[in-house]
Amino acid sequence: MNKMGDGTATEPPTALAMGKTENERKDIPALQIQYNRFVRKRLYWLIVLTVILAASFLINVATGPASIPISTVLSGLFSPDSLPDALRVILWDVRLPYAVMALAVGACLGHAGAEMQTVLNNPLASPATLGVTYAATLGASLVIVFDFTLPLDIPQHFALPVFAFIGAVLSILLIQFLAKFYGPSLEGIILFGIAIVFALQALVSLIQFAADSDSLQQIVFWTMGSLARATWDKIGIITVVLAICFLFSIRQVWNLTIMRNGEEFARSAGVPVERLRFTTLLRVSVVAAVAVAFTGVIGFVGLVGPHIARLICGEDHRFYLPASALAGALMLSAASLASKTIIPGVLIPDGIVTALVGVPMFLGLLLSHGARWR
Amino acid sequence: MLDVSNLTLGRAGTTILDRITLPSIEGGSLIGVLGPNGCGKSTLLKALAGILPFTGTARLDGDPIDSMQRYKRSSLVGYLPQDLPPPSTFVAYEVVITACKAARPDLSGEQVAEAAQVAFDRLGLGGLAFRPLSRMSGGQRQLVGLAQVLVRNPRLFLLDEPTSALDLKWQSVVFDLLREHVRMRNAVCLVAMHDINLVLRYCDRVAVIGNGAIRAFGPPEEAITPAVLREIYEVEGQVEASTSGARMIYVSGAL
Repeated sequence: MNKMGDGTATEPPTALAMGKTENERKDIPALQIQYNRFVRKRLYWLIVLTVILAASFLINVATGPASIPISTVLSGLFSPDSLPDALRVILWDVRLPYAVMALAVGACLGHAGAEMQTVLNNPLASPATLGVTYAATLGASLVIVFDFTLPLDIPQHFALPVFAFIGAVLSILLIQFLAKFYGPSLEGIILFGIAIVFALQALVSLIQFAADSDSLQQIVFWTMGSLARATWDKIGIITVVLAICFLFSIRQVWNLTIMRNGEEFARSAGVPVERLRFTTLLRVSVVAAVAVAFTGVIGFVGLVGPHIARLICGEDHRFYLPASALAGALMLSAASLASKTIIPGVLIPDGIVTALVGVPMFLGLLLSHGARWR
Repeated sequence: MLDVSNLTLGRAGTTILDRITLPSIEGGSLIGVLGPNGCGKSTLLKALAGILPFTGTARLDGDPIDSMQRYKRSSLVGYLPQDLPPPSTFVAYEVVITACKAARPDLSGEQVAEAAQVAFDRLGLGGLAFRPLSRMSGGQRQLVGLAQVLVRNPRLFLLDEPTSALDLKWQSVVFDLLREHVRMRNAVCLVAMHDINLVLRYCDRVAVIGNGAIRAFGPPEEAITPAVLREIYEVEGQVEASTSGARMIYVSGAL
């Protein structure tokens, strides 16, 4: 309101004034001009990342046993009716769900890892740190071995994801509960998390030990993580959950950014550190759990995605959070491409390929930037 | 105006300061908080910042600090922790912007930009504004911490050893700037210090803490006496006047 008032009172917006660039206006301090440039550069890198992601997505869709030219993919995307029936089925029922699932799950894991690293103030944190993925595995194993059914007419193929999700959320609630009673310190939460990871691993091993060979094979396959079970309704659920959680993250963007300057500093700026950590961990677990529940364990993306984002866009969370989601999506997209092409005709589980593809990608960036963490 | 009365505070079950009361501190004054290691200087500042719970009353311009809403408190109270800002990937200017966005969302972008420019110029950070904190020295990071608290422009400054990592020149620059800022904006500033000579030079009054209580409060030349040095710091020393009239302490040894 102030700006409007000043503008109309002293200087009517003439064509000349409006044509001025930001730098030419006298009233902006020099450092702010530099800062605006600094921010624009990060925005530019965010756009570059988006373009690379779009390219990898198109290549991913085009690649497969029957290769489709990218021009056909594009026209098929915008007007499906223009394609012959067979091609339309391949594109919309096989390739696209798989490729979009890679984006959605990768974005979930990247975003979850980024927030986790921030609130735990730990570069090694990922959705696996507090046992989210292990708890999901336990939930899934229980369904595979004991064949639970769901109430309320929920289709049976959702039993596995539902139980995996419930397991993941329960594990994080347990940690929060323990932290609430024994002091919500950072070290406390991480130690509880590690203890729970070991307990969960033991429980999964116990179930594997008791399972028959068929179930055992299913459990092992689940822990390798695969996008092959992608369907549009699963993609819809993941996307909605991610979008809602992302909106909540955006509301906390400055509080999260200041957390990276240390807890004490954040507190001195009035940030309610414990509450922020509680709500963020809860949000992150939901995002990670919903992704992992549909695909099985996909590691590495949640750990390295945020590091790639940090190297490219810095740690201002206005850019860091979207960049982490994009980097996660890019990693999984590239991995799903590799999982189809390494052995033609064989779909290697994506959980295996992510590290194989991600490590060179990450090392390349690291070597070109120099380590910027601390 | 800061009013502190019957303030009791502690940590993990032990009482550190017991029912302390200070005379009303009016706007425009720079108050040194002195005392030996572990006497509760930092604890007092944290309590006044609303980070540690306490009993008793602490009012800023009549409003109790402990029951203020989050954004009201973070806009009125600027606390600078003793720990330096960590060597992160953030550039200095980003730290200041982030702190303002988190603590003072009520300030406009223009206000922050103008105040930041002044603070960076005065603190000699102009050329370092876009350097990551990980490539700065401890003293430079301390100046960045000071810059963000100045830009936030609080009514009450609580600075925990703000010059501990600074060389002689920047110690003086910081205190000149603080005194000027506090007087101009009619703010109250509490600085916890170990350097008694700086306190003698710059502070309007001092509060000397020892054994869980305020042992002396008043203008530095009255509050800091050989008896206080002996009792509180357990050193033999005296306050002497230099030829230019400035006061300084001379310590001859520990008791």
